[in-house]
Amino acid sequence: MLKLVYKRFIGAMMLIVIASVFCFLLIAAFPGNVALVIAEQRSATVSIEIVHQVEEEYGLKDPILVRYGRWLGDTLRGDLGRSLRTGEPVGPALLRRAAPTFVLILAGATVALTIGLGFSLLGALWPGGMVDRGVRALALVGASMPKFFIAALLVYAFGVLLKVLPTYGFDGPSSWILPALAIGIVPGALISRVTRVALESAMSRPYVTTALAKGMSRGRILVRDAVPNVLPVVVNAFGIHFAFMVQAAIVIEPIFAWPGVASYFVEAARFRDYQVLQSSLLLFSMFFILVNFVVDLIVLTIDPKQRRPRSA
Amino acid sequence: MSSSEALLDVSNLDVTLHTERATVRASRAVTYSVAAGRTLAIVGESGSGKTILNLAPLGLLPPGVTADITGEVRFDGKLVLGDGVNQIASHRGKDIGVIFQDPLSALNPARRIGSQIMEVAEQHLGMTARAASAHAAELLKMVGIPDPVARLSQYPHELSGGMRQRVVIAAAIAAEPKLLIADEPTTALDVTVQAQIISLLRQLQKRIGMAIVLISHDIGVVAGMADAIAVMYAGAIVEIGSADDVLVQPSHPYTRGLLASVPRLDTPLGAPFRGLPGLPPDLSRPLKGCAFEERCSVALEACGSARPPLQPVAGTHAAACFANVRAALAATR
Repeated sequence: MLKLVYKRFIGAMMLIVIASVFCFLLIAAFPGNVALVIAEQRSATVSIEIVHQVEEEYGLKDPILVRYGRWLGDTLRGDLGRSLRTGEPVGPALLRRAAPTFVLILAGATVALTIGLGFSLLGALWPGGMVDRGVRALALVGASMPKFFIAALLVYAFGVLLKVLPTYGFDGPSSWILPALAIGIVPGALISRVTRVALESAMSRPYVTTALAKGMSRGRILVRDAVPNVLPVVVNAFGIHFAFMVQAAIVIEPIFAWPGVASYFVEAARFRDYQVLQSSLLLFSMFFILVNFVVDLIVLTIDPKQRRPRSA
Repeated sequence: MSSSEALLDVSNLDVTLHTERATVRASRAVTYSVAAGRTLAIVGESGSGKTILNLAPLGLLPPGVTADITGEVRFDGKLVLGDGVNQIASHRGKDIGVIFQDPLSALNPARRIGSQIMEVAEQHLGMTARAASAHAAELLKMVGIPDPVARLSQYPHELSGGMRQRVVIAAAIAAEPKLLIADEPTTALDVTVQAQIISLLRQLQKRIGMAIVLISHDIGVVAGMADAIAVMYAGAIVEIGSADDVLVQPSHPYTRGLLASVPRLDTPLGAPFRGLPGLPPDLSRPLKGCAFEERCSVALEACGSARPPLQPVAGTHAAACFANVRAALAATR
């Protein structure tokens, strides 16, 4: 068990190192001349001298390995550089913007988990019934809609027609609802499908017949016998969708003028602000890897066969 | 067997199973009874309907299978099935315990064995979690599991097959049922463990005073436990009587074949195995005559056109055969 945890941890660390290489290379391969972009910001009339000066100053002509090493060293020391666009330090800016993104992802995860578990349990309680069929259809529709479309629908319904919820900004819990729904509905629908199928197969296992023979009710069997057996499936599905919410945030945050890391990233991409891009990309990757690591740990702990291997 | 003092009284039970692909007449006109504290063994080869006969009225069918059930079941003097009544499921776990063939799959792998036993006591005896836990430990001790308190927090995969079957039994008797239905309780276990489980069941029967319906194809297991035996073939009882009558003086040719196919210690080594030739009929097709006719060595002309009813042979011993088998066999001896 401990050995497995150790192995997964080493694996996660290695993945982060590999991810850092890719983050760097991706931005280095970004179309456009970075020096030119910086030079354009400095003066209205760009001359070749200024471009050369910028290249000298940022070490842009150095071999790529040297540049990667320098960036990695700076990052490890906590120096993420300054934004090319605003000149403010990237580290504190990312930190400040991490909180709203964190709120968005947590709220979205809550929505996803509620929808995913709630609907799949309701469906499994009355298999083939109205709820089951309705949820199945909704899940299909929900899963096939792009998130920006769902966001637009939500804004139109609750913001424009009903005028009950704020449609933009990060301003107290009422402003969290629409973004959380926009980011959580699709993963919720997908989780509910996966969980529903897993519950169905669990409910046809012999231990369910045993529980029936013991005089337990269907609802109780569902919760006490089936759910513990499908938990690994739920946690895995949830983990994947949770991790991918970072990606979804890139679409959702700008729509709701959400002052998070993702909209920071989008702005930076528009201005080729590679200092910001590299660091936020690395942050996203680390979040993704960390979530997967934690999911692996949770799955290990909830499976009694893994947690307590039989000692002969 | 008089039905006045019977704990379980089944009469004219017909079970028809419907799956997506087929409709199967799993049992027809089955009548039997079990007295309190006694053991009835229901014997037959796989597919003879012996399991379905007992589990279908309890609502314990495999998923995707539905059943039409007609006939009457009386339990403890009360009509629980038939005449518009279907209350037998409400006795599950409380007055009627069930143990299953495969203890590996019958226990939930994701739950501690303690909670799987405790829930029966909590549900049917109204015990608190603490009392139920003590009760479960007591039950584990009763079924012969050493160090019961420590076992409560273990998972099924941490126990051997025999231990798991003991846990299944402990859960089935947790509410001290009046009737225990044991569906091939030893089939999945190795031979030494089989003997232990059988002696455990007999011991528990004495202690709790429960009746047992033992479903088995193993004549050895049946001979060691049963007071009465019902032999099933193709969904119907072909012979029923006290264990001595059926085992010593089998009347139906099928019973004779079944008993003859049991290897004996006194047959010489290398002697050919005396199995029953042929296969049981397909229960999804209608049957005109006796279901055993095709495999029967003493079949008469009448056997192909009509079903022989159960007729008394002597006392409570009855067989469903047109041929006066006992006489015929006596002549050939």
